[in-house]
This record gives sequence, C-alpha cells and structure tokens, in this order.
Amino acid sequence: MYPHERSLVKRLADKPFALLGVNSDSDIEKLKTVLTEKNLTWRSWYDESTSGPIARQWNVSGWPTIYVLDHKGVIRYKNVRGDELDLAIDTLVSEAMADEASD
Amino acid sequence: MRTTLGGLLLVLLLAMTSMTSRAQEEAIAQEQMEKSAAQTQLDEVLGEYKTAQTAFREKLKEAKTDEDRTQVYQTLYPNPVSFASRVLAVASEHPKDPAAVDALVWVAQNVRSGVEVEVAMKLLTTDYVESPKLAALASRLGRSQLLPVPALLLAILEKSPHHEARGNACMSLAQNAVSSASMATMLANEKDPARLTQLKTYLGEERAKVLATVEVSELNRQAEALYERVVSEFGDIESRRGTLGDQAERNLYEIRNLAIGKVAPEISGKDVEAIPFKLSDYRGKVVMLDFWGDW
Repeated sequence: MYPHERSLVKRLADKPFALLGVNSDSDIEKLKTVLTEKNLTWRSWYDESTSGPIARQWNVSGWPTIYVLDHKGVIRYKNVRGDELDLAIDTLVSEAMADEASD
Repeated sequence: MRTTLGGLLLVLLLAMTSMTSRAQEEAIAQEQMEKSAAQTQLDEVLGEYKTAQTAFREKLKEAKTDEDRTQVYQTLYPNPVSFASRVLAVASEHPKDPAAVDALVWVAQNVRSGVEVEVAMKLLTTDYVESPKLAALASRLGRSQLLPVPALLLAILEKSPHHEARGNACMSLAQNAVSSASMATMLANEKDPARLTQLKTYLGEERAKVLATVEVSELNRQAEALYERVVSEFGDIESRRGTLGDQAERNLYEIRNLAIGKVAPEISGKDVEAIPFKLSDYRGKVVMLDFWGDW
C-alpha cells in the first residue's frame, strides 16, 4: 500500500487532492518511527487503537478500509484498490478541476 | 459353625454384589451402545479430522521457509470438504439421533463448497430448525455466499423457539443482504472478463445467477429493516463484539450515513503530533480516506 500511496501523493501534488489517514496503531512512538522511515508524508488522525472513536463511528472492521470523497465531501467510492483506485481519484480530480474552472 | 455360616453369608453377599455391579455395567454398556451408534460414528470421523489438523499444524510450525509452508499446505492441509460425506452420512443414517444435528451443524459450519454443505443446510432448514444448536451456527453465516444460507437463516428467525438463535439469524440475515448487495454490484460492474469468471466461480453458477437478478436497493432496504429488528427485539444478545444491539446500531449508521452518495460525516481529532484538524478543512479537494495501521 505505501508505495502506491507515495506515488499518488507525488503524482497529484499540485492537484485538488489530499490523502488522509486514520491510524489505529496502539504504539504512537513506533508509529512515528514508521512515518519517518517509510517516508509517509501525509497526515493521519491518531485513533489510538482498532476500536478508536473514529474507526468505531465509521464502523471499520477491516484494515485498510478506503473511502474516496469528492471535493464536496460526498462519499463516491468505497474500498477500491489498485488501478481502480487511481481511476476513481483521477475521475473525481477532473470533476473538481472542472467545477473550479466554471466558478 | 458360626464361622462357617458367617463365611457362607459373606460369600453370598459378595456374589450378590458382584452380580449387581456386573448387571449395572452391562446395562450401561448396552445404553452406551444404543446411544452411541451415531455418536461413535461421528466421533470417529471428527477424531480423524482433528488428528489430521494437529499433524498439519505441527508440520506448519516446523516449516522454516515459505516454500516449506506451501508444501505443507499442499500436502497436509485437512480440507473439511473431504470429511463432509462421512459426517453427513451420520445424519442421514441416524436422523433421529441427537448426533444428527451435530453432524449437520459441523458440515454447515466448516465446509465451504460442494454438494454436502448444501444438503446439510437444507436438512437443517426442513428438519432441525428448532434445535438450540443452531444459535451458534446462525451467528457465523453472515458472510457466507452459499446458496441455501438465506433460506436457513429465515427459517431459524421465523421458527426457532430460542431467542438467541432467532436474534443471531436476524443479524446474519441482515449481513447476508448487505453482502449480497455488494456482490451483486461487483458482478454488475466488473468489466475484466477474466476477473468476472473468477468471481462467478467463487460464487457458484447458481448464486451468481440469483445475484444477477436482485435489486440492490431492495436488498439495502431489507438489511435496514432487519438491523432495526435486531435493535428492537434482540439487542440484548451478547456476541464476541459486544451486544447485537450495538453492532446493529453501528451497521444502521453505516447504511444511513456512510453509503455512496452521502456527505461524509465530520472527522475531528488530532494528528500524531497532537495537532487538531478536521475533515471539513479539506472541502474543495478530493480526499482519499485511508483507515490504516502498520501491522
């Protein structure tokens, strides 16, 4: 997952796109090491455990779980992976840019 | 003379005692034989399965490389499906024995493919639906894609006299509707022919046919109604992940607020440096939200 995410973040750096994490690791110090060592530059909420408040509210029972939201905050895709994830994000980024241009 | 008489009495007494105990033993043996014709048969097959499982686990522990492990899986993994016909035979040969329902439940719970598991589920539906032993089984069928699962769960929900069995069936029936809806969507949207074939093989031809004709929105409505019923009627039942009521509430929240097309609920919390931030800070941008952990 990490290489794919790193490349998405890099490829879409100047586009209306953000990768946000909700992290469920229980050891925050270990997590900080992982972030540095694996060069994970995107922001995550720290949710403390697999039964943290955000994961519970979002009823997450498997990791990773992925949601893709459009620029209006609407949930558009759930649990897409690989090429489909790229396609989903690219579609929504184009929508966002078209909307921006028409304003 | 007195001694002789006493001795004689003692001998008589001893003889009587031993006669009684022998008669008792025989009676017990007789009873066991009658009781265990089916049970013995079931114990024998499941004993073999257990032995195979133990051997498999031990070898797997000993394996050092991935190659070794693959080899152990390929040669020693005891697939429940290869024990299914013998377990099923216990039920078909002794349908009135208490072991019959145990045999059927074992097949329904452990076997994932083949004709035996379908037969077992159909028999449970028609002949054993009132057994309290179906409570545990019902709780484990929510994610099963096997064709006879919905009918079995519905029968338990409608006919079982046991509160826990009915509650678990209601919960699993809701989960079944949710997973049917997502499988049907996947089937309808899969464009890659190779992956479509793979998916159809996994589901089985008949189940794939059923899913091709279902109405996804109708399945979602069914799921919602079933979760509501869990909350109102079966909320008190304990499960491994809290009460069924809590679980159903969270699933209802997901259906109502986290479905495709809904505005994502606000997330507000702190990052790893304890700096607060919110999801709505990112309005205007496409957001990939990744629930993750480094494990």
